[in-house]
Amino acid sequence: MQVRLASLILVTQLCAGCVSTSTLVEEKLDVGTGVTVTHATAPIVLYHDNSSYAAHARDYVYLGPVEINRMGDYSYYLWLGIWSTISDAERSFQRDGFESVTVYADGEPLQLELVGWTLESIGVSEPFYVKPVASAADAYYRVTMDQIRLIADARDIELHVGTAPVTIYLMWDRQGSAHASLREFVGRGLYGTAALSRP
Amino acid sequence: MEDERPTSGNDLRLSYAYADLADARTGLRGRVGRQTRNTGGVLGRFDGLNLTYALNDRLRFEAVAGRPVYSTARDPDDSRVFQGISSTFAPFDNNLDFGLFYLEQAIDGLTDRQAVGAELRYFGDDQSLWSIVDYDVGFEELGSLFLQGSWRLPASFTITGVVDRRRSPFLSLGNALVGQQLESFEELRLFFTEEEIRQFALDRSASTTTYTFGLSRPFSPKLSMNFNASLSSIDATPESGGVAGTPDSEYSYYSADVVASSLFTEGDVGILGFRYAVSGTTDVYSTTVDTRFPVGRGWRISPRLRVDYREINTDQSTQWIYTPGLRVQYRMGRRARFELQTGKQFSTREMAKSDYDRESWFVNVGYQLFY
Repeated sequence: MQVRLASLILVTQLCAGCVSTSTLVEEKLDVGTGVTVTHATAPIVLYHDNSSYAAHARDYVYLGPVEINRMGDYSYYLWLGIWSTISDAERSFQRDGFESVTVYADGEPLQLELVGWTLESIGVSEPFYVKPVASAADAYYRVTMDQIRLIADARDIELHVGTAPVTIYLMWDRQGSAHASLREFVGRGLYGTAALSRP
Repeated sequence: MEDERPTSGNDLRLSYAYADLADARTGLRGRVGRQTRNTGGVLGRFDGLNLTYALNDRLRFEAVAGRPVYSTARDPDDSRVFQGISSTFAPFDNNLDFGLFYLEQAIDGLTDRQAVGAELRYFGDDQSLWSIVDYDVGFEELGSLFLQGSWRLPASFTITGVVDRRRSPFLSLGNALVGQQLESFEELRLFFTEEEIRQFALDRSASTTTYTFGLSRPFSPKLSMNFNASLSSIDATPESGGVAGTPDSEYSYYSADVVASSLFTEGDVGILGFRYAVSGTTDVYSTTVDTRFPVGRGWRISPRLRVDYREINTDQSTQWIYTPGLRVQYRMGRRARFELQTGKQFSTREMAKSDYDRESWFVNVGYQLFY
């Protein structure tokens, strides 16, 4: 009986630890820190043709929004997942330039403030976005909800990375799910209030 | 008299020059001019027209026509012209984007490419999958297949895999010109039949395959590790049309990275990487140390070091390469950014009869101003 009860409690806790508001936005409890993490499930895919290495070599950046809720204290970040189809032996320093990132949302520049390269920098213990490849580098930038809204509303997004030289990442074509996911994230409203008020 | 000597530095390179058009009444959108597209069978930059009609949020149709631009330093390829159609279906409820396309490209009146294909992209809570397939119905050959997937397992393990199989250069009739002592495709047609040209194009388009497997896991918020293994091969090409064949080759590497933060100060990060790469001619062992320190709000300093040890099988020599470097970045509010990157490379090659030492260095300084 005690085993059954313990199992029931465990299952209940596990269920409570992961609550998805929809398939486009996921909200989950970060068990290690006790914060609630909300993120879009489908990130925006950006790319940079790197034909100096090979005709089909490309560098990719995945871009997704994150909301961290620390007992009612909300903060917002952009996650960038940085990877490439080039052999990682040729890309020892793949983070270079990503300290200086400007997002152009329909031409409107948003300079991003890097907060760090690991989960520690945003106070979370477990990854939330699925890494595209194991060698992908993560980068986290502090933003406001208004900046995320600007990106979500944009038809065209560009990423300008680095200072000397600047590498431009363009949006991959046809990203219906990523746009829908971003809009759903923003549609929840500041502090997820719109989602809370839904029937 | 026209000067046909090659020039450098002063060439106009036009990457983009387009106008976007939209009709709010019909929902028809268009882009005309120099642009890029990477779906629908289009292989990057082109001069032409791309039309999009969105029936609703979930279903979209596109038509494209133009001339490929293989290099911004050169004029568009006048001998080639393409047109294609494609559609995208995005069932938003399950994070799936799916697209189909057909594209036909002609070169001097012959079919250069005739591609049908599909793209699928899925992002779930714990999985992602991206697949692009391009099949040439004219050649009856696979042009390219790209498959990338990742899966988050319990205990925060993530396994990832990439399969990339393609013809290189990308399969097209124009590849028959590779290695020929002729100026244009038009000239090639004077010497060979279409069937011969088709066979030469296949012979010059080597099949390349890459398999990559990876495993990553964060061990704490401050520490994560990843392991990667990759095997690439290029198939041999036969001799034909007076062009020599090429032997097959293989390249593989195995790597591991440790990423740790807040080692010395809050916000710093250190990345320690090990790599072993093997090719037919060389074995390379590499160690990389990459550190990044924030200093105040404006400065970021990144000392790094890479050490390579190479065993060169062709002459049984060995080589050590040391590459220390430093990147310094200063951010002056939101108005300006400055960056300095400098490094030096020392290499020592030990050969049977003598040693060969070499040194080189570089400095790169840049700035960005925002108005």
